[in-house]
Amino acid sequence: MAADEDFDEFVRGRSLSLFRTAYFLTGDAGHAEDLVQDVLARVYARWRLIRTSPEAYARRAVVHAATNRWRARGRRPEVPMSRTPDRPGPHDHAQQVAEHQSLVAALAQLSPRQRAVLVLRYFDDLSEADTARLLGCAVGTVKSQSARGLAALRRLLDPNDRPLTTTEPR
Amino acid sequence: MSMNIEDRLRADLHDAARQLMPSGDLLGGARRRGRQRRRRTRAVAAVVVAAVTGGVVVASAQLLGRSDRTAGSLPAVDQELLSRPTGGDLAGDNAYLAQVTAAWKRYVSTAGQARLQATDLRGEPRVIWAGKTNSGNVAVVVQDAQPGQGLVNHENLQRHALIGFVGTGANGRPTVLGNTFPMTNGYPGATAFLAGPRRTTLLVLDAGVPLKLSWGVTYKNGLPHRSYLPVRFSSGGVAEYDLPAGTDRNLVYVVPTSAGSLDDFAYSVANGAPPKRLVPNHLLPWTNSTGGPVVTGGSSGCGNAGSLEATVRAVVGANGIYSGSIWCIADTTHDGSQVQAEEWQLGAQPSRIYVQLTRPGQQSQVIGGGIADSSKPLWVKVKLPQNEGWVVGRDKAALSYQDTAGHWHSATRSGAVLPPSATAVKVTVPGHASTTVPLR
Repeated sequence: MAADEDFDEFVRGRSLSLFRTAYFLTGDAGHAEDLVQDVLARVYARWRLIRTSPEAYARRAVVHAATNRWRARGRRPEVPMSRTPDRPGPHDHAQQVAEHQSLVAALAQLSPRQRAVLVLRYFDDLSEADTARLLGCAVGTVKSQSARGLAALRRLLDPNDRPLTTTEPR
Repeated sequence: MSMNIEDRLRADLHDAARQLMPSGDLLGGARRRGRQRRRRTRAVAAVVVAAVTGGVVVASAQLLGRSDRTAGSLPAVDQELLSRPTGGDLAGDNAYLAQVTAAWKRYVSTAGQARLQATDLRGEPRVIWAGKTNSGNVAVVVQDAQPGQGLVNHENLQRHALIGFVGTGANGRPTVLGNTFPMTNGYPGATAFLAGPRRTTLLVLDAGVPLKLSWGVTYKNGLPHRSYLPVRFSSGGVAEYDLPAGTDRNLVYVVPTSAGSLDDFAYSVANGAPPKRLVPNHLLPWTNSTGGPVVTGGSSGCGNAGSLEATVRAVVGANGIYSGSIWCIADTTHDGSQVQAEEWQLGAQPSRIYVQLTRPGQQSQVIGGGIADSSKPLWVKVKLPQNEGWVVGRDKAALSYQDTAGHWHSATRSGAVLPPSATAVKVTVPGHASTTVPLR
């Protein structure tokens, strides 16, 4: 069936990107995978009815599902210990990787809305307007959430605050 | 840092992403789940959920199994709306109608992209309903328009009837409360809205779909339920209701009569979810997620995350307003039943405790644990059915329990599943005298 083939092609082409977005939003690979699979199932069920970009539709669904899940006060995705180095090492590739991981861990400490804004803006490379449209908020909200999220990241990544070792939700 | 935070974030995210691969078969799983969903969706002709937003729009969405998109002409429902005679008891008040039209024109000329869901408005706006309500004068305006980005069918730039909801502002003059389309890309937009300074008057526009209304969530044996009544439109095509006292407007839903699962709503809003409103946070101030041998590694503090969430989601939909706290317990009773307890808040209502009990070889059962109350020594005290014990919880507290023989046993901090022999719990919060709470 042509529609099914189109869907398969869509999933093969875009599911990895959706999964990675979901991972950064949830901080948990298993949850991200389950969430993306659920969203793709919804896309599959409505494939013929989606007249906008299926990817935009799916990405919106992923973001909404992830932010709904973590909207609760204080409920944070867990940060795997393996992704949070105890201390900076020599300034080499290993340290660069560790810093990347620390930043991802810090991202997981933000509010769901701030995290969504930053992931959409800096991972999915959406414009402020597209991010606002996807989140159903004003562009000004995207700007303010982005600024606050970046400020929070700076604080979390301050050397005085390292190491990021907790696995407890705050 | 040698790079600024934005560059570093972008670089790190992309760098980290390269190491991320899903472990399972996303395509196979999606198709399997999707086929199940298709079968269900066929049975459920349509779903519309109304979520009252800060902009006082009651957003709704619906999946229809028919095409309403005919190139070159407006869909029938839009044509009917654009040509509908003015209804309501203010239909003959030309001065008011002129004020409404002027307010609408000001709105569409000044509303930002995030608020106005349309581009390329054509022709003159028409007031299709105007009436007096207990929340002041209210009107509905329609105008031929092109749906904005996110609602656009790029293969067929179908025009639609843009609907504007107009209430009475604090200055006593007509004020636009929101705008929507009756249908774009197979999904309807807002069909109802709340008016009045306290948003206590619900008005539902007849857009050709039989609707039912739910005032909110009620509880039976501690578990949330919804009941519905049919929406009855006046001859003018609008139904008007005053919200009963005490109604949580976050939980007022208007859905098609044929609607089934509210979950579908989360993904059927073509232009993003309705803006979330801030609601009072009644979740208890837990500082940690401990409590019994908590299973970590899932998407919440407990394993099998989602089962209890599904209980609350069933009455609000995935896009409804609900929140869960970080507290949870996963433990086993003396006879081997798995117990999971979590706290969830629906709309602006007080949060409640829900317990999932899974007896060996049996299907899970969800038990309503009642309202969580941080003013009591024990914030959580739930008796399990069939004499299987208790679930108790209190933040930052050492909990011990007394059995029928009078012996005291140390339980845990913050929460525990206690055996049926427990008769009392001693709650010790650092810096405070211990309190003993009888279990009965």
